[in-house]
Amino acid sequence: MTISAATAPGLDQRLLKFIQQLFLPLLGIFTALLVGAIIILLSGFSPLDAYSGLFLGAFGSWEAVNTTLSTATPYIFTTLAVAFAFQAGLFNIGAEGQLRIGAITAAWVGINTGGLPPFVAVPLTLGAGCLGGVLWGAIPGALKAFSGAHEVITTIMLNYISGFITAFLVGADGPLKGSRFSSTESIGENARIPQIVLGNPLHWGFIIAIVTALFIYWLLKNTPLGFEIRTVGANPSAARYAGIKVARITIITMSVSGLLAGMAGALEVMGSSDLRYRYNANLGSGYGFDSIAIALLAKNNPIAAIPAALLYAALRSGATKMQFQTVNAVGQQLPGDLISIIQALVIIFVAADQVLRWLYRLRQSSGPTVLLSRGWGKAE
Amino acid sequence: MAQVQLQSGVIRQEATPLNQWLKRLGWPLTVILLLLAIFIWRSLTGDQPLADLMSVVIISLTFATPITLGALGGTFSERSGVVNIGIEGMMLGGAFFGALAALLTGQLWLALLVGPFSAMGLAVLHGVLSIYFRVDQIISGTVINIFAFGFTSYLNALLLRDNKKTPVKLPGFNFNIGTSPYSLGIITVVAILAVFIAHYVLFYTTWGLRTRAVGENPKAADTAGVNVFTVRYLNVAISGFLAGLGGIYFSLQELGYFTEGMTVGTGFIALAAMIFGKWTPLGAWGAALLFGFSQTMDTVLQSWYGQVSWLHTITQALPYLVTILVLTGLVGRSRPPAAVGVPYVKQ
Repeated sequence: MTISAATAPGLDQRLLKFIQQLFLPLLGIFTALLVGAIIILLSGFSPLDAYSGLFLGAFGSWEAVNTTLSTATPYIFTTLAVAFAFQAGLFNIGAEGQLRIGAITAAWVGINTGGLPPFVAVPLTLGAGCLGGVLWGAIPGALKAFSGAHEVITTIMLNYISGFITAFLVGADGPLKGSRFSSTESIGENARIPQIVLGNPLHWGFIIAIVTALFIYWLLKNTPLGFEIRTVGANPSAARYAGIKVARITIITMSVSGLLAGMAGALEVMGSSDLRYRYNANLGSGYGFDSIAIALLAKNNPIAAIPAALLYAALRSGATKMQFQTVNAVGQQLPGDLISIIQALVIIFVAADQVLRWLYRLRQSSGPTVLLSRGWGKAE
Repeated sequence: MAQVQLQSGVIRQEATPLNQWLKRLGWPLTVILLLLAIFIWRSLTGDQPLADLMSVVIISLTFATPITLGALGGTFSERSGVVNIGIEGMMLGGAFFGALAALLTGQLWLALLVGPFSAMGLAVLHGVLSIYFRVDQIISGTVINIFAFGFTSYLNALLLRDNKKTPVKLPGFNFNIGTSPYSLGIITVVAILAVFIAHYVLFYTTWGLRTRAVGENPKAADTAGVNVFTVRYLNVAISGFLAGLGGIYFSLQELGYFTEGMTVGTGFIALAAMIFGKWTPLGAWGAALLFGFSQTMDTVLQSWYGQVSWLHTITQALPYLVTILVLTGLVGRSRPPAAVGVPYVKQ
């Protein structure tokens, strides 16, 4: 007679739990697309045209898939940045600014790498970009740690300020201006990231992104620092009682968050042949709020950030084809801003899953949530 | 100034007489000193010091308009306990729908209603998400911002952008000081009136008392018979209305048409003004004037000294830098309503 001892949940149970966790986000995406379809219909367009165009534009050809994956690369980084900060209860909307500063620092170093061999130039340039991001993330982190200034506003302000600074640097009489208006020179050949398959926009940055996501996941789950970060996020008073220095964690978290976003910018400059390996003033727009959406979609899980970012990248890269293919009776094209609406809807339905449950009459959840609203400027 | 370290590690200023006096006079004093400084400077370097001074005052009042209205809206919402980060989105919504109404019907008075009411709609959405569904209020506000941006850009592209219509602007009050003509926009006047009305409502009426009670201790208010949810919904709606008025400033007073994202972060600056103003209407107005002033310096310095790009970068960034400075409490600490940000659960 065998006695079966209590063991860890079996493979099928874990699979079931995994599928259950996926269910709500997928339902949310589906509902968002549904509402999007209604909006499209009400505007006089055909949802069928629109969504088929979207899908084809994102995945319809080898070229399209490449574009989608390379669009996803910076999104993965910025999402990791936002999700990482969320784990500590911090709302980092500054991914856009941190990306910009990282990109321009990387561009500056990359232009000036002289005759250095690639295995020195590339890390140097990337490192510079990361440092730029760290700086732009550490500022709101320190402000929050020492004076309680709420990071939602400080990061948004810094986004705008970074825009002014970079616009000046590549502007009419800016020091970093290259031969083209509003952008720098191309960075040296030795500082560039090669493409995975020659001729396609997808570069090794994508692989770096995946590796980074795995690393961040490991960092959060298996290191003391990760534990401290998650504790501060779950309950700052308890964390403080346990001896964790909340101020230190705040600054470290925002710095790492900024580093990740800076990496996004640096890799875009270093690897994107579309951008001609240069920084231009338009880089970074829209990443801030988009990455919050993706992070919420991925429930702040670094691994889940990859498919979530791919989804968003697909929405973005499919948008052009969708616009092209969807024409109404008056001959107007469907405005691409519909994508922003769908993205907003995705957040509503996924992050605020209470709304979904209400819509579909589902049971209440019992899982833990990260408390984000603790009011303004209160030093805990 | 003596400093006292409290248990929680927060350093507060001890209330010495000089300190109290400065606090009392804080706003008017700062503003007067700044204006005096400008007057003296322009007397030395320009040729029309009084006219320059008046320009600075009028332009500051004008730039402060949307910030004032946004901050007033934020004050009402937060005083009742609901964090309203979505002011930026509500402003944008008000700007767009007001412009839409004005450009499609040509009736400006209609726009003055449509704009704020559509912003109110967005606010009610925020209210439903955060009060009924108890979604995290910052997420809910951020969602409103993203949604408003996408929605207004979408409709703009669909309906307004390609129809080149002539800009429609609200009339202003034109007056002359000396020989120089000045104009004070109608929304600016409305904003100033709103400050005093809000002050009266919040501190001298039953409604204001209920609002503040709900924001400080909803449980006690509930026990006393106040419907916490109704009070919160109404205050959030009011904040939307005011934000919408602020939005109309952009599309109908400043430019005459709508452009995507035309509020450029003003909603967030308004929140900082609210915090700086200690969650009071008069304080919010003073803070808004400060921000408006820093925005003015950019325009004014350009017109006095011409385009210098690095200086322009600094002056452009000035309002945003001031916002950050304000939030760090370097320029004064303030205490938010005790129950702000926490969804109320009736037990």
